[in-house]
Amino acid sequence: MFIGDSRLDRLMDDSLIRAFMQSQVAGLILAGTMPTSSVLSDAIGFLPTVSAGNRDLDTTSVDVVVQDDEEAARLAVQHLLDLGHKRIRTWRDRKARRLSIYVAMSMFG
Amino acid sequence: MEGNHLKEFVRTEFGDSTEAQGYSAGERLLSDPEDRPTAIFASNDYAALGAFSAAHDRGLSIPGDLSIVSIDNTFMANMRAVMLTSVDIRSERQGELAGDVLIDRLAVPESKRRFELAHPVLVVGETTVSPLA
Repeated sequence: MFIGDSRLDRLMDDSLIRAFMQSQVAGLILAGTMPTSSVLSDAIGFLPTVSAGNRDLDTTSVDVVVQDDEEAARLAVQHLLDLGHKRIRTWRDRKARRLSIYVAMSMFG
Repeated sequence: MEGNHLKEFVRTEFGDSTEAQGYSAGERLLSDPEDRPTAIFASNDYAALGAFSAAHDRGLSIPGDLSIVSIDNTFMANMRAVMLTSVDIRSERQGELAGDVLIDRLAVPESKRRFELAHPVLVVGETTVSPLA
């Protein structure tokens, strides 16, 4: 198992993936959000890939594991309602990662 | 949950979820003493801590005057000075699931594409209590 962390340098994404390919890894797990480069797209086409914790990856070809944002929003608001709160305020996040919070919030009003 | 009650009890505005945006959202939401919320729901811990600071700067006590809940349950939520009530998005569980899914995929390459959700868990800290009035 190889673990690469590109948080210090975004340009490292591609060189990490090339290194993994050269090491002939059997599959890839992409953890967290990252830009989709051509090197990454090629790797996804070539290797079994699982995307974890990334709602922005625009592909229908990989397996995906993500957090349930809608359920998370529901749990948070339900907790406040259970405590008896009737004047609850929130604001909608414009980030795509929180897209399902929009869904939950539109339900909440 | 009944939709009508939610519309009545929860009011939503627009904004981002940085600490600074959380602070300004907090400032805005808490500015009118006649229409002050008893609780704020922030969509991540950064924004929650921003709102926390805004409440603090207005002399409001948390959770006595204002409850705050957020999502992520990061290390910040668990700092003892704050102990934020936050929904844990189960990053470790997501990692476990990702490993399982990849192993399954390697075993049966042609199987149907998988989409797995990690179920979140509410972690009650010290920023949420029942409202006074």
